[in-house]
Amino acid sequence: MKILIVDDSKAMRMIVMRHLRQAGFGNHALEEASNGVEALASVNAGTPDLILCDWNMPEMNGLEFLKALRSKSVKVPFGFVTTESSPEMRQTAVTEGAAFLIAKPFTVETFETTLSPFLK
Amino acid sequence: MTIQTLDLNAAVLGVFESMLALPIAVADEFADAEEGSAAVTGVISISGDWNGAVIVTVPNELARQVAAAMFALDADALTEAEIQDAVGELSNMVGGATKTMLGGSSSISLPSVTEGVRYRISIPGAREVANARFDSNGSLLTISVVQGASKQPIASRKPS
Repeated sequence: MKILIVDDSKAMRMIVMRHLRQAGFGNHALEEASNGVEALASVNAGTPDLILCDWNMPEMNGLEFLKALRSKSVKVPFGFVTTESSPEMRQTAVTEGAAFLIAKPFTVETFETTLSPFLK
Repeated sequence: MTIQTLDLNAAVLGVFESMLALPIAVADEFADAEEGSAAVTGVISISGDWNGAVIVTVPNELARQVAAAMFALDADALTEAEIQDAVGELSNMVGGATKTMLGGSSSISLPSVTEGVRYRISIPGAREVANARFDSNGSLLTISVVQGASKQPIASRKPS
């Protein structure tokens, strides 16, 4: 399976990839994008099986990226990995079609529990 | 809308312990950074129901350790851009946690990062409403939360 990791911070993308490996998902193909525009191009080139996406990013933020995907009827499972963890943001995420929201800072256990239903 | 020091402490300790695996402890309230030491500072603005900023200052040596932990690289192999990215992301996580503590409807900015020796971050009209200090491997990390005097977002103000 292919996982697309979208975050404007290379440091955070490295942390997410490390947590994926430590949670037992290291056998999946990992792709990176640094904002929504790059992520859309990546999806157009080949739809991933899961998207893990930051909320605040330059060019196109995570919510705009999610809306763009859904407007094109791309139904790939999408989860936010973000500092934006207020009840209001969580509700917005679900309303727009996100499957989950993982708040930073996160743990390996959170990754394991949250992502297991999406990764075989 | 207030920020409790204990909540601020918990946010920073959580970042260091769960994501960076670096030692961290709340420092003595009178602890002070070494005079003239070089540091990297990340700033996150919060705007909306509450307007202000979160300022995270990390001594150079600790900034290098944070970046090494994030990138899983040897500290000597890091570039300046990677260190700035790491401090920006650290500031982003502390800023996001602060925004959640405040409640209400607000948004946070992307981080801005500066570095140098003997510099001061000053936001005209803002006053400090909370601060916290931490010791990690003998380096002092400081967090300052400042609130703007008006409802105008700090990030949109023109310099006087």
